[in-house]
Amino acid sequence: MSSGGVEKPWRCGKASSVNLQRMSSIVRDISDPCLSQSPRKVSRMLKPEKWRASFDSDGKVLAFHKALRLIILGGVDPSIRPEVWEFLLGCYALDSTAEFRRQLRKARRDRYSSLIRQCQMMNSSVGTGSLAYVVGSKVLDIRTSSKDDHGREGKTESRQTSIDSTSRLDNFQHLENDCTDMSQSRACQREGFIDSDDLVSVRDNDVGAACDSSTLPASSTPYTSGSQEVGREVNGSKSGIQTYFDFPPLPVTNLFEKNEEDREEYNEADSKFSTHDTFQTGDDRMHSFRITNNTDIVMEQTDFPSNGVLSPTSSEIEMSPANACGTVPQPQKSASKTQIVSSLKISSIPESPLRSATSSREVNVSEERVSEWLWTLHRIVVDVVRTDSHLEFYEDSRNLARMSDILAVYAWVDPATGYCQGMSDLLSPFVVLFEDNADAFWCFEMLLRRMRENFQMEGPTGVMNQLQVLWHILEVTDREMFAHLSRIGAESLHFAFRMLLVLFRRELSFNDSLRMWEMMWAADFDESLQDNLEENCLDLLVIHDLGEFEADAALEAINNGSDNLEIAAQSKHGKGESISENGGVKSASTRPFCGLTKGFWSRNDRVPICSSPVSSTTKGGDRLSVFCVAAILIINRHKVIRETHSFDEMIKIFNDNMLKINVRRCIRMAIKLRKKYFYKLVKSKSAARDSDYCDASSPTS
Amino acid sequence: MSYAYLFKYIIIGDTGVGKSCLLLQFTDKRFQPVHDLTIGVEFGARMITIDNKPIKLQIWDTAGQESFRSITRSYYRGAAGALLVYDITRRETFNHLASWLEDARQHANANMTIMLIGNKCDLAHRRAVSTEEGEQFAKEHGLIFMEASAKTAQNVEEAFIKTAAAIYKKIEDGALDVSNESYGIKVGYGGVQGPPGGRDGAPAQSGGCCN
Repeated sequence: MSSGGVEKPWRCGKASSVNLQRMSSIVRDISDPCLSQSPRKVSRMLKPEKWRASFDSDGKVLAFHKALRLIILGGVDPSIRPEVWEFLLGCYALDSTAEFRRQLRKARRDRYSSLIRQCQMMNSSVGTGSLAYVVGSKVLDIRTSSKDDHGREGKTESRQTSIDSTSRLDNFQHLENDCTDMSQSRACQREGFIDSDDLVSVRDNDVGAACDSSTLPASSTPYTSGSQEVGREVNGSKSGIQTYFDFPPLPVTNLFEKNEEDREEYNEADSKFSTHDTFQTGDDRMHSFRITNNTDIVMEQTDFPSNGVLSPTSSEIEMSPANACGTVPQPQKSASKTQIVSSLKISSIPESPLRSATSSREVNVSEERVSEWLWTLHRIVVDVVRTDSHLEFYEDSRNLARMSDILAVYAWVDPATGYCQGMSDLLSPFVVLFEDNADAFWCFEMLLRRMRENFQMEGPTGVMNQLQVLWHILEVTDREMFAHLSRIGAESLHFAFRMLLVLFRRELSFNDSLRMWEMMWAADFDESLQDNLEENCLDLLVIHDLGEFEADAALEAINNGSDNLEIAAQSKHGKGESISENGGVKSASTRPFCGLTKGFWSRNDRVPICSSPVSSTTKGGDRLSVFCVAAILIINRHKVIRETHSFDEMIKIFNDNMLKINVRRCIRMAIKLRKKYFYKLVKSKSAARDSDYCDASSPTS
Repeated sequence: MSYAYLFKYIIIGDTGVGKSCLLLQFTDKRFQPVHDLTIGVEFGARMITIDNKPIKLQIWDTAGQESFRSITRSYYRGAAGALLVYDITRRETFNHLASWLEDARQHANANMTIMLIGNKCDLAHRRAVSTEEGEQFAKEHGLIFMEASAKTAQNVEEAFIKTAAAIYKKIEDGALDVSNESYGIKVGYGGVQGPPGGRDGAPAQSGGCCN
């Protein structure tokens, strides 16, 4: 009963314009009567009157706990959902004044638009309301049928502004168009520009440009057409291998993880073909065909036109990695460092990350980041069109573009996390609810602070941890279910993966999932709220004051920069292990449920240090979402036990939404389970056995 | 519900190549131009007939994004067949095949039958990978190859069925031990000899694969 026709009501005014007031009024109209199964309980939710009544004359929230209780009972009235969500997510301190919030919102919007401008420099379609067609027709592949893709593509190209990077981008598009149009005789050369390969090539290109600009007078920004040309020329000759090592966090590269092997393969391949000539022949197809993996793609460029530019290239190569981060060719490490450097950079020099040609190091880093970001943007666009596509709201491509912009900005400010599938599911409701992209962005960002570790490059370890906790919860609270799942071999609990990653978006209708979210957040807010929340929020207040003086914040970021850099670099690449190691160290300094640490920029720097370890060790486990999954299992006990005889069937029953999920009931049950679980944990002090679970219990005990 | 054999498949390949659409076309005979992103792993099933025997195909559809690989990898084991999909209009999806293959070889059982599918062959005008290249890659790596279109349904059935036929042949030839469920084959009760160990024991292997 969950999804089905419930989305229908979203056909609001053809969604031709993003009229959110209208949106939300429609949401209100439809959601109350039609969606709640038990009409008499409709009143048990946070209604506008109650909400308004909880503010004092200054606009401080006085009785948030009362509000929370109502939300836990039945959610938030859709008409006030956006504003309530901001509090639930911790965007504002409860005792912030209305005036402060107004200023803060303005500051955030300003910040967001400056971020958009930054992104625009890299891809001119960001922020314009049309999707960024990083690689032209690629998106068409996915959304073939509808939409005026060609038109938009054309637009993108015609939008060749003087923004340097744009022209560069367009160059790729041209190249690519050539490529698809023409025979593939020149494929090899251009191949790099196609799609994800273009990532590599873009990177190469970037590095080329970067190196150039570091060798050339500092005035040449990486994106001036001059250096672009040079970059292109040199492009092929850029050191595949070395640059490859420079770019490990790339999705493409990362895909293959086994860098050492890649390298071997490269050698092997190299020896197989034994001469560069092979690569230089016109038989590119053959060559590309032989490509065994990404490295080869890079390699291809290495080998290709290496004739003329060989020596300068190699010297540059040697310096470029060294410059960038002084790393050994150890992909992951250098990757993380790069990321950190970049994030640091953007925080300290928010306005001109691309122009800081003062030192070659900065140029380099920035270049890498740009190319990585461009590739990310491509992936974002490809995925955005596949997100909530059943909602009419997203039939308007401008709304898709909003989603894409926000994800792109996020990937830009948080390169360590970047973009990962599933994020768009989480973002989509904010885009629908908030008229202003900056507001949507901030809520999304706040949400991700709790969930960031689910989206780390190395795989969704956050969710995996939660699944482990879930297993333990079942063991402690429901032996029967535990035994059944053990018997059918479902210990991995992978069937719950999607629920936890995108917070029930796929299992529930749009409206139900929003309700589920707010109820979960309220319950987490309530249950796990430390007594000192108020203090935390006071801190926040101070901090956000800081945020208003951006220069100070930037300075601070710079001052803290080097420390953060090092620590973050350590914690980043080690993934699992180092996360937990650092968790102990840093968790004390964060405020879990406010999720609010220092000013935004420095916050981002600290992300890898604080928030992910905290959440993966201590926070992941006690979050209500995990208990919600347990509740869903238990509520559907009979069906589960009777109808699933294998893990496969378990997956099926979950994927096909064959389980009953009544949001209110689920939340109630989850809260009960959580109490029970922690009660039992505390009671049987056997926690020593498993430090993870021990950690998980500590916040509430 | 009765089948002679149950074959487990896994569909792999880069994100956006049309894995879910192929599955949907095969199981539901319909095409959804915009298929929601696959998160984690999804699942589909359909009966087919090979050599007059009812065979159930149970297909795991995986997410293409690399960050989900930790999950998808656990589905390799226990798969009798893999459909390795690329998009003929996006060259990089072809270029990544080798890595997918490597992943499969590493995590799947050695006897897994792999079908290489060049999807979206209806978009010939945007073709970026020639049929010959696909063929050659398949030949070099010992894969079965087909170009298909989830949109037009061209070769979709064929791809799934041909894979099944190849698996079936391996069984006939005795190259696959059907009693060992980690090969992704279950012997059912519908139409063949009373199998050894055809018990309802699927969990054993799926559990094993998930850490």
